[in-house]
Amino acid sequence: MQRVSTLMYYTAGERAISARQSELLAAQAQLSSGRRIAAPSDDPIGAATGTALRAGISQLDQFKGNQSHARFLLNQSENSVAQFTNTAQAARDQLLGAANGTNSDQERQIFARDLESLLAQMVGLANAADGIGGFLFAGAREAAAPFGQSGSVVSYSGDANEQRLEVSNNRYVQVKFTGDDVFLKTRPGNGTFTTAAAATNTGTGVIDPGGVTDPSQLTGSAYTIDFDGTQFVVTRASDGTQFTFAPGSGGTTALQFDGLRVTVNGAPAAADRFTIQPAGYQSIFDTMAQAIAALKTTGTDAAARARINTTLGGAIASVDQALDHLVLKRAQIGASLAELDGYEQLNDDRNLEYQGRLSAIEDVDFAQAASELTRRQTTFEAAIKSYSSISRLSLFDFL
Amino acid sequence: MSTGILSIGNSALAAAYTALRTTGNNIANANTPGYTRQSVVLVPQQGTSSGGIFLGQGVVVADVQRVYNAFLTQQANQATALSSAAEARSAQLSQLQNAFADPASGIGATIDQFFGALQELTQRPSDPAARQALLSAAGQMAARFNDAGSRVQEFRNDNERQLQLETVNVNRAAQEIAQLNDRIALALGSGVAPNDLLDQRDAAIRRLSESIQVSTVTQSDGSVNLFLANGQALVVGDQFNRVLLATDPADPQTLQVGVNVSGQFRPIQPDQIGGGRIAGLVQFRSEDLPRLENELGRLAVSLASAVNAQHRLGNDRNGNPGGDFFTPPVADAYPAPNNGNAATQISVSFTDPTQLQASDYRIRFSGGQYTLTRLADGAQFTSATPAFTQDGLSITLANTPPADGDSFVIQPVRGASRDLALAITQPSEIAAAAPVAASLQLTNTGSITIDDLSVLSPRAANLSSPATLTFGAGNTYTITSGAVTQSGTYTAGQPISFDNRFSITLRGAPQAGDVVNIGPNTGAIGDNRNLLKLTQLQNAAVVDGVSLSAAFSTVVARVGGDAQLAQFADNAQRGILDAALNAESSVSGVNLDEEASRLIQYQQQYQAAARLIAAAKEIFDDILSLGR
Repeated sequence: MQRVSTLMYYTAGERAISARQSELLAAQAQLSSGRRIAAPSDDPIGAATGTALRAGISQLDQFKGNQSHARFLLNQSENSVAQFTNTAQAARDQLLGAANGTNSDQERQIFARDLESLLAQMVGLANAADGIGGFLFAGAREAAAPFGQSGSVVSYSGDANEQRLEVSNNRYVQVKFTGDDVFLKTRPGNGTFTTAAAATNTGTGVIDPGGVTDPSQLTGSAYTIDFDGTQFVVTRASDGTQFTFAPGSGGTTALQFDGLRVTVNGAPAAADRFTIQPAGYQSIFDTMAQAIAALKTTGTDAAARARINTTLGGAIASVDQALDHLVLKRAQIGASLAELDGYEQLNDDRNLEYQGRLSAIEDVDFAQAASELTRRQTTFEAAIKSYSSISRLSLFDFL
Repeated sequence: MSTGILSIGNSALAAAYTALRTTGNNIANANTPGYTRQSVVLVPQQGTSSGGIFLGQGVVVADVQRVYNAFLTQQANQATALSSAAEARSAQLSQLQNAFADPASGIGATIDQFFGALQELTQRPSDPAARQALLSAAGQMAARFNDAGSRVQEFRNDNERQLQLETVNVNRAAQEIAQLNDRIALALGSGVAPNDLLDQRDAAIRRLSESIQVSTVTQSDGSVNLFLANGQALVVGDQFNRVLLATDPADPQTLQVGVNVSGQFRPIQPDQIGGGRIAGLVQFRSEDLPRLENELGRLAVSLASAVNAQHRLGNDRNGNPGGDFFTPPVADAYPAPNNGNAATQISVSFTDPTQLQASDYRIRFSGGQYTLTRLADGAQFTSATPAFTQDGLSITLANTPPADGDSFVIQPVRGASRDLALAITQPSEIAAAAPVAASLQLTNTGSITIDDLSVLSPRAANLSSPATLTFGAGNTYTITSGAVTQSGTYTAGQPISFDNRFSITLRGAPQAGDVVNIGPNTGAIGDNRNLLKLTQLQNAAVVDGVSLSAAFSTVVARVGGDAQLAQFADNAQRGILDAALNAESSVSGVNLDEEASRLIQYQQQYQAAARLIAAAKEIFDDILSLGR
């Protein structure tokens, strides 16, 4: 049997009570704060996981911000490109009307003025502001409007910098399309080459924009087509190779060589010349400027009309290419938006998941905590009751 | 005859009185800590033989003894020392973790906010407000790191104050014990057991044990010699040695605990202090604080270095090359003050901040060989030449060789958290843009497109003249920039690196004569390409193979884990101490019920003795009356 000293009895009792009390307080603090981890030592791994999850959630919040900004910019771009497409479509309709071979100088002037006003509208649309102080189609040079107009000559002062944003971990979406990409990088003519008639032509021959019959045979070279009065002589500029073609019946000659095909309608005069150039890039503004210049050309004789019609035919083909290009860009914007939909969904799902895990780690399970509190309360009561009743016992009371 | 009875009665009366006094004293000291209960030792008075009959002569009080078990008391002293050590360290660690792990405003949150502001700026790189917001977020992050650094310093200062107090306690107790030794030896020499002095000395040893662990050896003259855990004598007889704090001569930033033995300071290694609050405080100071400081510092160095490196690859709002975003971290290193060759200097620079370890280092020159020790884990690296490249550090010594035995302290990341600061002050100085831009020439007939243009080094910013990439026949290309020319064959999607300046990736089929222009990125205030690279640092492995946030959560786990283990240790030691104190108290403590029964016992003896004297008087009276 162990002796129990009075001092020890009191100290032990007091210590046990204060230990129960601090346990009770800890349980109460958990319940009142709702937090399971008050200090990292309560659950070091949980606290560290919580820190990492919070970093993840903060990043997801930022992605969400980027996503909504991306949507904001892409919607505007989509809208601007759509309006631009409508304007280009209107220009094409005008060009079709103007290409009617019977128009007088005066009538062509009217078409020219219409096209000029459409061109101004196009420049205006291409200079669309992005709503936050910059421009939609300026690339990174957002200090000034990207397109300038002097007469019918349109210049671009933006750059080719396509702004992207991180919309999900390591996933970037292009949010700004540059004027360079949308309006400048269009191919004229049929998209592969352009055709033209020499200004000195005296016949009524009109060359069409042509087309590609076999892409594998394309050489990428320029060609000249000379009519020597009896036949067409095609010269490949890169090495001087020549092909000859006899004029076709009914004033229509189809020339097919090196995987391409052009048709000359009408009656060219001897020494008339047509050219074929591989297509570089030509902006829709330049196409418009060429068409306007052609329409402003005076002269109603057959040869002049033929030259104008060749130019307008090329211009219509170029506008068609530009329209195709605009459709492609709209599709890209749409694809970016569709991609965003996916990332927004992913982001929300992940956010929910992270929040859930964070809550599971850091938040109190109230049912469990409440029952724990009750249990500790009972223990505490037992401790104080037993202490007070036993400490009342003393032999001195019976002396 | 009646005088015999009277003297027996007297002796009984005196014995009962002494016993009652002793019981009274026990009752009086029932709640006195350190009091050892006393009991009277009664022996029969030597009897006289008279006529062949041996008659008892009453009782004498032979001694008033302390009821004492030296082994149990020693055990309680040891348990006190260990429990105090655990308690001191646990208390410090608990405070420390609260200072660093607040999820809402801690370092982790400000790192998140910094990268958040970077992401925000990618949306509108030219917006001065967004730029200012990034500077503010970066400033707050730096301030939080600084706070953490100075909090650690506060903990260190507070720790030093506590250690000073503890040494005062130790010296006071040691002095008291030495004096008591003297008085006890004197008292015992004159044949008296000085119970209260013994109690006082035991109490002083117990108080001393709370501060520092000692072992006791009792001498034949009753004095007690005290030895520290490393064997160093603290109290010998009536002499004692002072415990002092002093800076480590090999490292002025380290505080050493030691004993002053006849004017000479003898340091005690931190792991040899054993127990007592001093042991807990020293462990906290020499292990826990530096580790946290180094981990935070490493985080700061890795963060600042990674951000700086990327920031220098960009162009600012005015088109100028980006500078350092944070002031470049500097590794701290110095020769030990007591080196034999004071001319030898040490310099340390960061070669690869992603490889840094959260540790201090020490170089020792001995036997013509340099030994580099990583103090966190004791790993050693040797070299015959005065240069090391280790753990992302480049360490070189100048004016070698040092004297044999000379050492050098390297604290590469210790102060980095305190020193983290912004190097840029103007929003326009944020290098959001890439220094170069690529564009396709309008005359291109091929279907080449630009997929990516990456900056390889700050050299990209000073292209002497724009670079032109021209395609020739058969997918060959030539890049020309001023006098530098580079040719190759193009493969779609394959990056082409040029002159350690940039790397360009193209797609599509080129035609001979197609041209890609790569030139200075002028006027590109809306360019966010360098920002996109900066945001990638959030998840990049820039801290010894893990990301910044993972590294920070490791720090949280470490601090929390240390605090938790210290609490467990504290609780366990507290339990052991309670058991030891109970064991001691069960022998030496006063039980009031026991004393109450003694009280009855001796009171009855007293009454009986008094009755005996009364009986003697009656007998005497009877005899007197016979003569009447």
